[in-house]
Amino acid sequence: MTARLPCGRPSTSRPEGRDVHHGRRTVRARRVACAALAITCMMHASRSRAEEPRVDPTSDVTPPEIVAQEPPSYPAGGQGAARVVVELVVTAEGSVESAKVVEGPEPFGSAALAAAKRHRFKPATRSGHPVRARIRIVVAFARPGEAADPGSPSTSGAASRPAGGDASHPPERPADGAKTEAPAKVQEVQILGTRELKTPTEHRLGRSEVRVLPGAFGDPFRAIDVLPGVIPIVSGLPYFYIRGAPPSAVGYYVDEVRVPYLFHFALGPGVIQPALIDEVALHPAAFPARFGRYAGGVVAGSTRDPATELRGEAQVRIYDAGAYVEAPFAAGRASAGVGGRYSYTAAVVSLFAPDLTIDYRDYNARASYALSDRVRVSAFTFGSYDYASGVDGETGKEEVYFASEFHRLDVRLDRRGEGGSSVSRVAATFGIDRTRLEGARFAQNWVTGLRGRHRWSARPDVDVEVGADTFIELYRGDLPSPYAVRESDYEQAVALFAPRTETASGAWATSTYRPRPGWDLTAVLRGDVFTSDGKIGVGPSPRLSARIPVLAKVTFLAALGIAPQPPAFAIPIPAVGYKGLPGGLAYAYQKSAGLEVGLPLRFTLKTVGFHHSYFNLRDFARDRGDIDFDRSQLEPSSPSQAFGLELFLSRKLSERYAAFTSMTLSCSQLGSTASAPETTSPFDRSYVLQIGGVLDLGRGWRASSRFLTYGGWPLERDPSTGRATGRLDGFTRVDARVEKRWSLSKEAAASGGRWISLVLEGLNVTGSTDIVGRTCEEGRCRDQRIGPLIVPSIGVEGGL
Amino acid sequence: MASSGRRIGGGLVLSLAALASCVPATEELAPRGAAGVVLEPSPAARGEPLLTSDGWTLRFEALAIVAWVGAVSVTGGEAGSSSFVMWNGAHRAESIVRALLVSSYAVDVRLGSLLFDPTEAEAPDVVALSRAHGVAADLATRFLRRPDNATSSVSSSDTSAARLEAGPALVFVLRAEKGDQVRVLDLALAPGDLSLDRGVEVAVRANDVVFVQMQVAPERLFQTASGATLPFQPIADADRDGDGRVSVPELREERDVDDVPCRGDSSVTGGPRARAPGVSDRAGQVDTDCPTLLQGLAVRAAKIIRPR
Repeated sequence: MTARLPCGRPSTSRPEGRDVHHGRRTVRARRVACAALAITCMMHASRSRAEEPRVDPTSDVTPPEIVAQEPPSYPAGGQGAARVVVELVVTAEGSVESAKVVEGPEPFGSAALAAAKRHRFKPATRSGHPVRARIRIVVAFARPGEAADPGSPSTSGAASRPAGGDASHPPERPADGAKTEAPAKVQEVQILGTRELKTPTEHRLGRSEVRVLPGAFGDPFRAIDVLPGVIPIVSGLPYFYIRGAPPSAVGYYVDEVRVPYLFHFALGPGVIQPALIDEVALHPAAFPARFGRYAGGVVAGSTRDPATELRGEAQVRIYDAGAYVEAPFAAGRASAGVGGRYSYTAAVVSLFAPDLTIDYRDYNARASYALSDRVRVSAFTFGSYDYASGVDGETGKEEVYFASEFHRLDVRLDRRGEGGSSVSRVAATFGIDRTRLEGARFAQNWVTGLRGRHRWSARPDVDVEVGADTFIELYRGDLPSPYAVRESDYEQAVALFAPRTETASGAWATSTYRPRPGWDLTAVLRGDVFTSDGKIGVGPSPRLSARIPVLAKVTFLAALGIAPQPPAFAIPIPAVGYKGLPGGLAYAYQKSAGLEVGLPLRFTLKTVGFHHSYFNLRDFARDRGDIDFDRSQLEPSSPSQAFGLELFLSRKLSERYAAFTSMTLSCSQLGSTASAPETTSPFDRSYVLQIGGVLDLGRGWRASSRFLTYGGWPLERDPSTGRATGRLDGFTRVDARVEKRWSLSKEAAASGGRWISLVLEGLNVTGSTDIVGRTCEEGRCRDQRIGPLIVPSIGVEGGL
Repeated sequence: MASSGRRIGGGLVLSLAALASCVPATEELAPRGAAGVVLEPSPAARGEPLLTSDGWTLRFEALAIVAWVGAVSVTGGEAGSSSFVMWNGAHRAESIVRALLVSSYAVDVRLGSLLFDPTEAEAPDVVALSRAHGVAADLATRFLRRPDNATSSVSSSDTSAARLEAGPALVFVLRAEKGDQVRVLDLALAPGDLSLDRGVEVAVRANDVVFVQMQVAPERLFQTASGATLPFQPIADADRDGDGRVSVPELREERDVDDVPCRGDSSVTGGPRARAPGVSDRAGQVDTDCPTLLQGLAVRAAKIIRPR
């Protein structure tokens, strides 16, 4: 689908902060012998990942906008006037990633190309998120002393504004011999991004939003707890119930690669560098076709586009330090980046507890090379390592509490069809997971995966994608000698770590029909086959979703889906899983519908009602009072269900001022058969409410806070009805964040150039405690509390 | 670009270093192993006939046992036990005590009892367990009932949750014949003697199991401690109603004839004794002069497993 957006008229107003650049350009322009720059704009935007063609014309798309440009010199040897069309790829940071002459004679082409590469843009945005875009500009040359061809387009903001928008800066004053032209039209905009991956009831958080969200510490995967439908277990613990589904039913991905273990020690920092992540999406239902094998939801992070200039970020906190740096090479055709996090908690903790060791680290690296304008090969690797031990006071021997690691390498080839008419990807994933069990024994598995997909426009209003993937996991866990451990321990080891081969293979076909602007009707047919230790499970996963405008700024949303899942361990731990598909596959039946309403001041209200049913799902929380991790096998739960209403009122947090309200009213129940009557889930919270805001205080100061409150767990259940008759007290906390940023370059503000920040951030600055139970003796009751879990952070962050 | 290249190079080195930093396995565990017992049935346990000193031919038609294996370090301090095992006494069985620190242990087999809640229905998992070890379901369920030699005041333990009772350790059906006389004993007995044997000493090796050979010899129900065969006639005579089945009340009515000590009578050898009114049938204890026939069987039941 192609959007044709007319350019806006240039404005005589000049936005604050750009005068300096314009002044400099003007000076430069006067030095140029002759040139007239006119930029018109045939904008072809494209995402680097070349994933999805087209943009929804009704979506909030803003084309790139020039903020700094280099007037081209009239080339030596040139004669007369000339018109050159240059195609640029503008990164999400606003720099020019690549440029090529599409049309125009030499030597004007080279001159235009050289100048265009030095342009800087305010990046294109989609729904407020900066996105990579491909545009075409026309550079018009006039003989010195002459004006450019009146028919030529102007250099001004014509290229950078959609219809109705006032240009952000005036027409470039032409250099000697040039004259300003009327703004040309933006003839075409293509945003090749994640648009088509959107599902109607999903939520997305962009990098810039996550950064300012207090309590998230810049971690996109932790930040999802601000979204509706996400029910915390305990404040600060980054594992959630999503629409009644337990953490084991939620899949986490980065660039379509499953992350086996997302947070250090299950509650610490994320294992993926925030600087790598462009945005994170929460798909609570009817996920995009390429995701499957989870019944409860999918959290998918996507990485940023390959760098076209040196860039990086670093954080130094009181307990760890992390950095990521990426740079282009091979004349911009390639880029490579590396980053990681290292915890010095071992050294810090040893000051207070010399017998205790807590150590974690992770790494992220990637490289990308453009084989041609439309073909790119990339490699992405990441991994994590956690280790905690203590010295036994009696024996003096080290006792390892937890030790786990994983490594992943994903190699992919992306190909984009001519003009973005199609996108294809083939990829291979390799990995190894290890978790220490005892002594020198490990649970270990080797992962090999292949996947491929192809998407194309079958008709102007129909996009189709087909794909398939298969994963083979070789579990080679070290089983103990059956004589050296207790029988129950051995049985547990056999159930969870036994050597075996598991496979998961899936295929899908999906079609998105957009009969009218703003409409999205998507059907997915997906099926997965699971094998483990000779057992086979087949899981069909059809999905339907719709996005239908019903009134001006009011859109109806709906998502239906069936999601199968193989048995999963209660909390994702590398190399730990069930052998032989015990109990068979679990299924979720997802139903949700709602409305999205555009409000003044760029606020958006999204409200969704949902009802999810789960069958055969393992939920370790089935009986909160009897969570037994020593059991070799959790029994599949009887049917359960969750229903409720989600509301999300927000203005992009990346705006100068922003606010959001997230509310979930829900009920989660277990059992609905004659033999297992409905009971309120032990982890049911009837409400979760969050209110937050971000304020740019000027002079680099930015403050944000978040208020969170949720209802308490059910306290008692009526034996006859199973319903909760009372609840523990609820929980309330406040998170806060203050940042002072210094820009180290004049372009920093506009283009994300060099900067450094001092960040003070705290989760639960109110020092609140979670109530997780109540004990009564002799008529006196006392709450059992956890916490207060307060996470303070003083950090220095910087970007290149 | 050169500086960025250096940065990237440095980063890659760090990445490789991170890749190399696999989870360590520095913790050394104390070596452990296991001690096991192989239980072989005696000919009598397999159902072969046994001739008593007074001419009765005994044949065990059914035999089921619940027991566990205990291992105690000869140097003290370490001990372990297996879980309970229920098996058909006519079959070979084995039980293992795992996770023992490498050392020398005295290994013994103790008859045991399953605890059950008399107010609840029979636990189906016990029946399932019995099938796996060749025990007929009707015999298995008897392990979740009161022993025949129990009274209401014994063989039970109170817990805060429920009043649990201990079941029998030995269930057997014995057919005795002499000429045209036939007697049948169908009993479920709790061990009547909890005195501990020293066991068989073995050296436990790391990651290995060492087995002790033992024999299930139900004929010891009719033998003295020294191995002398007891006459069966007193038991046969206890069948007062003449129906051929020597019932539990009938066995309680007669005093034992073996070498079970009588209070005040240390010379406890042979010969029928007079009935002692008021005898308690409390397992393993004699609170009057001499035990009953039922008590005598219960006491000797504790000795039916012995080293080979």
